[in-house]
Amino acid sequence: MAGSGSPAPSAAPDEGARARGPSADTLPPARRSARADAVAAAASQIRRGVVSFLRILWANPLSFVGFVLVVVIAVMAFLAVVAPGLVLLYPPNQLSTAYHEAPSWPHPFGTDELGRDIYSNVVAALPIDLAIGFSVAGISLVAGGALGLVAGYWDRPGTLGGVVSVTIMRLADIFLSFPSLVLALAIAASIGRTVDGAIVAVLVTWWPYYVRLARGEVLSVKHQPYVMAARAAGVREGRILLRHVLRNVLEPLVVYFTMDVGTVIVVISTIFYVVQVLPYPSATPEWGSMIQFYQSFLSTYPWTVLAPGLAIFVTVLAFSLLGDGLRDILDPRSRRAQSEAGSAMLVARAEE
Amino acid sequence: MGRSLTDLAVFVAKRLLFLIPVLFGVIVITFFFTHVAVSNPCAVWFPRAKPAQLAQCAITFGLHQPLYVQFFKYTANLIDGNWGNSPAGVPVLPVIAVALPATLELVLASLVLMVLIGIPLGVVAAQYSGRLGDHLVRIFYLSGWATPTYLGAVVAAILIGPFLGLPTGGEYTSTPPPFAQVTHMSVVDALLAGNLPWAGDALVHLILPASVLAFVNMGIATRMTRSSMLEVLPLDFVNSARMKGLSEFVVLYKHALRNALISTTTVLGVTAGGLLSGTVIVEEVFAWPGIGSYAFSAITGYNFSGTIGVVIVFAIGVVIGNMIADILYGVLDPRVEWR
Repeated sequence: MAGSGSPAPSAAPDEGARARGPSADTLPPARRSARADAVAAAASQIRRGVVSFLRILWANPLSFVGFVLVVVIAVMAFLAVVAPGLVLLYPPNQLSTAYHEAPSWPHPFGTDELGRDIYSNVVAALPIDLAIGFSVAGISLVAGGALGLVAGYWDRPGTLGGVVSVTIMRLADIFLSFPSLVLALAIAASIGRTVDGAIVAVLVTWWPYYVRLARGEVLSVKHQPYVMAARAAGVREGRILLRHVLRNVLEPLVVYFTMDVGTVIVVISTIFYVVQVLPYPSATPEWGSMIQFYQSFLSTYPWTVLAPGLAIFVTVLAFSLLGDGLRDILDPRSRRAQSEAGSAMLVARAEE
Repeated sequence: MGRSLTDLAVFVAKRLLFLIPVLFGVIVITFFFTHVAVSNPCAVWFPRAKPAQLAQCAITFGLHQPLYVQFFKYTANLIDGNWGNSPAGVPVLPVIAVALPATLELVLASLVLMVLIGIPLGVVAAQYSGRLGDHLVRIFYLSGWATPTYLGAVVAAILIGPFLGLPTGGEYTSTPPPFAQVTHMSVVDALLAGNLPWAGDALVHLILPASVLAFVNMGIATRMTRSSMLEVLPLDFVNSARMKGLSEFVVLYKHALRNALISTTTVLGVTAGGLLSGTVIVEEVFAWPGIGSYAFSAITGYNFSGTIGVVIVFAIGVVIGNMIADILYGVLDPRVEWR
């Protein structure tokens, strides 16, 4: 009896634990499958999203090329920082006796007058240009986007928001009329000729584009029925702005951001080219500085200039092709405008 | 508001008034960065000067005064027409005044190229939408878009120019030309002097720099033409023009393009900023004696008065470029009112 009685008390707490609350492994079968279903549904939704994303990209071959290139560029930049040995053939700036060699297998982009491997320096420059491109475009997206959101949403004249809105837009208009590249060059040249200075110089002229874009999108979204429905349901203004308005203006901003990364890279490398911020050869090679340094060799050893030039070209092209494709995916209006079927649909709707 | 000449005058006046905050903004920003970041530029200008000489230099340039005093003096002088001196003592404004026409000539030449090449390419892309021609045009204008101006300029000056036998530097083969440079626009001066060989020479010198400038800035015009053509082409008036039996060329370029051009014009105004900025690089590479090469040397040479001066002129250029585009927009589209 004692033998059979002893397991009973030990079973009781176990029972109690089960009754107190379901833990992951003790869920009743029905609820467990519900959660699994939700996970599976989300996964299949993501999978379907990815598949349709890739399918639309595939339908537009140039955008697909852009997508692949951006992925390759991002991976190479990441590896160049984390595991340089995997993507660089030689340490950056390593001298050798292979002077002015034309492109070959050991030196894909040739060498310069001191035997530096051009390919390795071009790839070593990838992280800094890409990082600056992302950070300048990213900061402008966040700062300019936030200002544009505020300026577009609270713009009723006669209120505090109206005053703020008008102030923001006037400031943005003034900044939009600045000769941005010349001003950026002037600032970068006088602020101390550092990388940070160059970034600040571009940022000063960069944010107002995002203000304009975000405000315009907000203005077109905020009178939509779903916004009014949210307001009628008593949702707070800040929450409407973040959950209903922001989410619907984000797509054009992201498309613009994607293309903008390439534009920033062009501008920043121009600053590096004109104002010797990182005079080549330095510990961190940079494309603009490389071209500035090698330009006198262009007629005799063209690969020294053309390799970094090609790197900028391909990077910028990749981001703008990808942005183009993203626009087609995210913005049904432009997709419609571009296809014959779309115009037929418009005609049909007009006839209704 | 309407479309009378008075409306246009009011419109222009408003736009010119907008110049005041823009100029104030650029002057404040450039002045701030040039004077706060660099405490005593004399040390940069004259690296080997002794401390006593540096102090003397600071007094000569008024740098010992508080910043706001310097700023008010500088702005007052600007309005008086004294735009300061370079570190070597050369006044800024006369240099800019002589250099500006050469830059205008270069920018106008590249605008002409953009209109003559960029817009027809947009029409071709719309005509062959989604087909090979469209993709080729897209690759062409995206190439220009993805080419940094300095890369395009250097490659054109060192590889393409010698290959094609085109001159790659200056306004004329030999300077100074045997006639008075009245306008400081190379082709115009030669024509005014009735000297055709020199006018041809000047024109040939214009080809490469203007092409580079046009190539890197063309994308936006081509793209805009393409998309507005795509909007116009399915419309009834295009179909009726086709049904009348007009040739496809007339339908595309006379009927459709005329309506599509309206939005392209606005975009051309936006490229004014890009074209002007591009001159900084292109003029430096092609030794073009304009405001761009002056800007390059002023910016890189710590010539702060010169730097602020060129930024002011470029800002005026951007605002006026946009204004001209808006006026043209009104001229092309009779529905537009000036306001």
